[in-house]
Amino acid sequence: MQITNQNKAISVSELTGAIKYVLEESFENISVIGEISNYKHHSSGHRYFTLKDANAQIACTMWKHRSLNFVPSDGMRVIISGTVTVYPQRGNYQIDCSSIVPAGQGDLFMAYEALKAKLDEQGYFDTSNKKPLPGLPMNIAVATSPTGAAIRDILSTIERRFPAVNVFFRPTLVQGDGSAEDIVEAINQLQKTPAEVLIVGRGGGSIEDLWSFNTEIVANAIFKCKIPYISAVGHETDFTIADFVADRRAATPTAAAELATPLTKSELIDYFENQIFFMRKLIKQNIKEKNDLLNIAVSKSAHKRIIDKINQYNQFIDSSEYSIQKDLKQTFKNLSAKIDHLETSCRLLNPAAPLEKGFAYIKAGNKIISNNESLDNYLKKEIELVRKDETAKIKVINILQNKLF
Amino acid sequence: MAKELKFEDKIKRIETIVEQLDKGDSQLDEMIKLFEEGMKLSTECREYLENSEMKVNNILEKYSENKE
Repeated sequence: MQITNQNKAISVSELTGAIKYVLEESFENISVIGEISNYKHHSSGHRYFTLKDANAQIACTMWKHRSLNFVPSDGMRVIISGTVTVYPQRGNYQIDCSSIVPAGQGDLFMAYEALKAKLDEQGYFDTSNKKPLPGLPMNIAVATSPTGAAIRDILSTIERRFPAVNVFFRPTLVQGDGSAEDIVEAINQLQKTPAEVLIVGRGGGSIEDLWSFNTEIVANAIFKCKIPYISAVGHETDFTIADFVADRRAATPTAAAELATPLTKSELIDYFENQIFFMRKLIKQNIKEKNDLLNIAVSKSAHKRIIDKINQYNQFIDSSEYSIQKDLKQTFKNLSAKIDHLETSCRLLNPAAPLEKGFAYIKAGNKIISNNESLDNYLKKEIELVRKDETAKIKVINILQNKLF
Repeated sequence: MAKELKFEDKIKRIETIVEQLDKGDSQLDEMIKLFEEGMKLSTECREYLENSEMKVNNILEKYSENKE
């Protein structure tokens, strides 16, 4: 190129084009360390910031299609990778970043805190978003390194506690370049298996070793995971973002396997035996209750019918007794009335009765002279006049006809 | 009586006696005999019924005891 040719003037565009060419050719795929300032995550998704040190600064952009494993913040020391580009319209130069990583432990911690705060605000850690673990999963998915102690601990724990469980193991990169992406892929793949719970983890390590579990893409994958997710990263004291987003956090891979198998084989057998015992007891009790109820119903109604019958008979006997007593009384009454009547009649017929009233009768010899017989037969003859206490012998002298009656 | 009558037969017999006494055309001797028979039968029946009721109650009580 002949841009500095003699004194011939060149245009701004020509100069800028030349600068662009020189810079972009010279500073391609460079790494720069510096401190972030004036970081802006634009609503378009692109990120704009300034990278500076004590004496200089340079504008940086990172387009939205570039993935970022942490949330940068002002003051954070980072190492960026990218290419210097020139923006001719403004005469600016800047670095087009392809990646940004925190530069040291302190910066990693800042990144961790920044992502944690962001996700917390977005509700990623809310207990209301946590899925309960299954009570008796028969299929458990595991994503971890195929070579670490974690997978051995998980498998031996499951084997010891509940050997019938199917394990879907997806060997996963848990550390270093591409590990975050591999973890995300593993989570997405294992969700499609019949697994009812997912364990993702690894053994302990430095913050750098565990870093993929502090990335936003992993946090998103966990948050969107459709099956209960158990995070088992590192040891007791290591907390990663993944642990906060997970439905349950286990201190160790062994503890995660225990959480995933809440019931051991022998506990389950005990449980079934108890249930069967309880069921049999319930059924027996139920049958007995029904039986009792039936018997009571039967005996009650039978009892009532018998008592009804007894009462009917009692009433019948009472009325029969009353009836025959009444009959007999009536008979007695009738008979005694008859007897009274007869007695009166008898009394009236007693021949001595008139004598009581002063009447007398007459007789000739032993024969009483009745009214039908005229005294003419006894003229001048002797007859007897009988009174109550005396008898007179009299002679019939004369007979007159009574005018009295 | 050669053979003790069954309860139901006794009841029938009482019915006959009542009917006969109701008619009132028997001889007094006969009536008294019937009356005596009727009273005897009704007393027996009443006892029988009392026993029956007691039996039913005993059964009921025994059954209730068996219930836990």
